[in-house]
Amino acid sequence: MRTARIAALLVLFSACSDHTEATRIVDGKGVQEYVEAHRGKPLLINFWASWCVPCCEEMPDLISATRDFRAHGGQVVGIAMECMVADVTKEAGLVKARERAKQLGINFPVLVCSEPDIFALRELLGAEVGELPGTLVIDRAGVVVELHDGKATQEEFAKLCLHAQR
Amino acid sequence: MTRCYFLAIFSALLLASFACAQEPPAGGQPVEKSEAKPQEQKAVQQPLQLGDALPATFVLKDIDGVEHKAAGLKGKITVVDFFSITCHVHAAWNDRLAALQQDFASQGVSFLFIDSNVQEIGEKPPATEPGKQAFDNIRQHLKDKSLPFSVLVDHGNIVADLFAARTTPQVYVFAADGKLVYRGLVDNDQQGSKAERTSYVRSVLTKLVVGEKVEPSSNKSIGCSIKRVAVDGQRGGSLWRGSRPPRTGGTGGTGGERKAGEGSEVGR
Repeated sequence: MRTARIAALLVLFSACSDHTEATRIVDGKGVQEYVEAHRGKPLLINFWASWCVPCCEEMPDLISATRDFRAHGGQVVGIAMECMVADVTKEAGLVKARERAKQLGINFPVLVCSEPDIFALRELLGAEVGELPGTLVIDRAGVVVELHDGKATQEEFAKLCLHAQR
Repeated sequence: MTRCYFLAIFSALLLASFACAQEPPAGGQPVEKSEAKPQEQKAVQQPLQLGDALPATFVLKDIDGVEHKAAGLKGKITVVDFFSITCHVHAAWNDRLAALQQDFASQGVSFLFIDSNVQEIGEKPPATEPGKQAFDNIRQHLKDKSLPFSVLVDHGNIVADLFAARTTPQVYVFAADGKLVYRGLVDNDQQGSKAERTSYVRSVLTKLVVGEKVEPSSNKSIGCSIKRVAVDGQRGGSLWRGSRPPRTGGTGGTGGERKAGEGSEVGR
């Protein structure tokens, strides 16, 4: 019975710790690969940074407004642009993003983007990303359908979810 | 025993899915909550377009209290940059903006750096005690970074709205006839690490100072959203007080305008 309890706790832990384990470093191609790997699912990519005030302010709205979207097969991923700051290493960026994600209660995967060239990232994603915060909407076919620049409200996030599901 | 394991795991999964579905607390980050209201779009004034003249209503004070008016800039090539002391993205471009000022100010080009971020300048001009100066945070930042910038403060983000400025940095270049000829990035090197870079602003200024004609162009900026004042109970942020400018997201920049960089998307 004791073993069963431990097994149950392990399952519980693994199920809930998914988003923290998913916080990892990727380069620009890694972001592109993530998008490719999720083809078939509607996808919201939120660009943020631990030091970005409006990014952190909008996070509770992003989390709550996308709850149903995620429950019904939609995917949300945060791309932490820590490395836009010239003297921040990717490892330091990972630590900062993890800490902030924990503080903010982020419960979806976070990728720390190590791509130093934002223009290369624009090229790879086929969208003029670069404003923090910003949310990119990708449909099931992997096509960029919208880019929301700046901080979004709950209502705006809800609309972005609908656009991704079309 | 097998049944026991199965039941335990099944229960744990149920608990796990329930627990994960709960809203996690936004611990450590105090965020003001407000009732969701439809965003009102008050058309105050049409945002500045390429080819438009610097609005006559342009009046701002710098951090020393000196007033800057559109009339005072008449006949001068003018560079306006939306500035921030807290945006790390802007910080990466600071030295290159300072170099532009150093190279072109002596050729008669005026440089204005506008701070519209409510968290940096406050909602209203601060009441200062006699003998003390306001905006010490900006003054200290300029000193620490050795930046020779004239920083104007835009309370209520009126000028940011008028310019339809979204990010820091975002550069606007006005020709000597007062018309807007360029809006967008300083150059195509966000971190300043490229061996070769295309400096859009330098290219435009180089032509303007010798009297060469410049075709109006724009590209999409990279940077931090300008943190605006809260409107009608909304939280401050990237909300637009006035008319919202054309969406520059999705597949390209502002519609109908020629892009800098050989007619294609900048940086692509």
